[in-house]
Amino acid sequence: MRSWRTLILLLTFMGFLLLLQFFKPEGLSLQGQRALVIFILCLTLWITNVIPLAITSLLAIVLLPLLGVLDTKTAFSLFGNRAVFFILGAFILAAALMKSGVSTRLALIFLTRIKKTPQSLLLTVLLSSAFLAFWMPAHAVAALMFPIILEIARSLKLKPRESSYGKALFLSLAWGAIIGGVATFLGGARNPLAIGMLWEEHGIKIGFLEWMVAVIPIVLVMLIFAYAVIRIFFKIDIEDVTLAESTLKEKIKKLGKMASEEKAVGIIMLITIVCWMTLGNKIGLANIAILSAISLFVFKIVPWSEIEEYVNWGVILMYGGAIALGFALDHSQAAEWLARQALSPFKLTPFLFIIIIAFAAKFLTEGISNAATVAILLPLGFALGGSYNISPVIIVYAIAVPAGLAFCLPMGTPPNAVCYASGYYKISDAVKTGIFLNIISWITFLIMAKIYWPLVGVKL
Amino acid sequence: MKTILLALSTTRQSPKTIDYALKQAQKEKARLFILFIVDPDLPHLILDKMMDVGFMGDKPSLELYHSILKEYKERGKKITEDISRAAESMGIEWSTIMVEGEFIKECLKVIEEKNPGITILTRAERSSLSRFLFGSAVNRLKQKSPCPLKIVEED
Repeated sequence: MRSWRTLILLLTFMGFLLLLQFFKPEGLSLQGQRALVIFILCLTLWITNVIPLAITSLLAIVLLPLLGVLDTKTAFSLFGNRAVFFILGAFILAAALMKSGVSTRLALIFLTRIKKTPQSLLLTVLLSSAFLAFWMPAHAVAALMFPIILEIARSLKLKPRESSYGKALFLSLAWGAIIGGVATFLGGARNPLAIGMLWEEHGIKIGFLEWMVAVIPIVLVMLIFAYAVIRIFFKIDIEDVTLAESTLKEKIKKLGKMASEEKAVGIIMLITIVCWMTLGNKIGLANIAILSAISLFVFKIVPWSEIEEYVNWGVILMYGGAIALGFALDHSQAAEWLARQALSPFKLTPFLFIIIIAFAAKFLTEGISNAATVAILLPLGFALGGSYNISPVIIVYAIAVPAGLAFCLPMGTPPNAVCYASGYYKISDAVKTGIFLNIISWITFLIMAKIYWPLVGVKL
Repeated sequence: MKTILLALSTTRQSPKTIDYALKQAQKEKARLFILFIVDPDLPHLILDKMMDVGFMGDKPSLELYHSILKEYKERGKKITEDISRAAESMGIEWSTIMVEGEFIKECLKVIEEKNPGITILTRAERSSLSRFLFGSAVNRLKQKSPCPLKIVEED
């Protein structure tokens, strides 16, 4: 594996140097040529993942001024983008939810509400993880629910890889978190990243509520289909779930009464969500996120030392770098040049273009990180979409939403990776069934874009 | 007394191999060493994924890592208990060894220490393409092992 990594790195950097030297197409400025070469380098590194994603972004931010695409001040100032700070605030809030235990309590409360039958337990797992992923990152939902679902599986004596119900249970968790993760800006940082790139390149905002109105119907339809796919492909090979019920009750009992820390975090989170929905456009989503994060420490609800361990600071590098690269492609007109080259042999209708770009996002996101998918496709989508007079807002939805819906492979999507690690299903189980869900989600997305979005003012 | 080592790991276990080892031990009146290696590769991969792709913090990622590893250990314990019960009922002398680490390294360590007549194992479930591209731990073990290996292929 190590030799493969070295070989890929060597070939990538050799290719980069060769392109820098010999890639001089007509009609593209020197700045544009270099921006495109840096983009190709980052694209290769993001796809192969031979160095951490965040480090690739960091490389982009250094190469842009070094090669004269952007001046140093502009390149580094893009790290301070509002989307980056929104993501940071949202991650701190999610960390507080996890650290205080309120998210685990919520998950347990949901899981003990509706059950009694094996079927309803599956549905509850799917819906609970989806609902939690509305308000915190999908991977955090998978991580916090994983030990609970593992205990349920153990209490029901489900055999890893053999029990069909075991497979269904873990896929319900993964798919629920994935589907729920596209509903708001909080389920995955790729959504704020797309919003940040939209703002930097076009000066257009999409509100918290606006996003939810456009996307939640897709989420609801997808949850129904996900449950149907699970029920069709996985036989229920157990008769009752009473043992799981007692395990859950035992866990809730162990948690005891709700601590004041949990109550305070819950209240702050609620107020924050209401503010995002009502005041987001007026005072800015990032400002609200950061103010809420600050209030956690002002009121001494959570200690900084512990929250620090819950937040991965690489997120700032990843998203700051991706936004800077997108900005450079736009600013140097490299994206526009690329769009002209890509489109000149084809005559597409705007809707056909949406079909293709949404498919490309779905295809890429199965193999690579969904944030990298957005970082790669969005600058190109903006430029290509512009040639068809498609609003950049539509491009954001057409890339960010499908990019979040990867149902098959554990490579690009942490909830899939976590659930696969349970050992209850094989990759082939997820691929065979997830492929249907991928096709369904692509079609659902397109139907919603064509029929529902015009009703809520998002016109193609 | 003859000795047989049955080497299993989180990703290398099959009822066919276990059955073969038990029957061989009974036939040869050999002592059976049941080795289970808890393979931290997959939890490590998940840990990397959560931190690199998911941008999850150290603490929850590590908690998840330990939770997965704990589950693998418990499963390993259950498998070795089941095999020792079966060995007991077949009148085979047995002992269990449970370790955590890299498959080849841990296997070689036990082989050197216990000096078995033969080591029985299976391959991890992987495609031939993946084996061709990334190599096979079992093949590498075959080259390094001082005792003969019997690889029971999956059906």
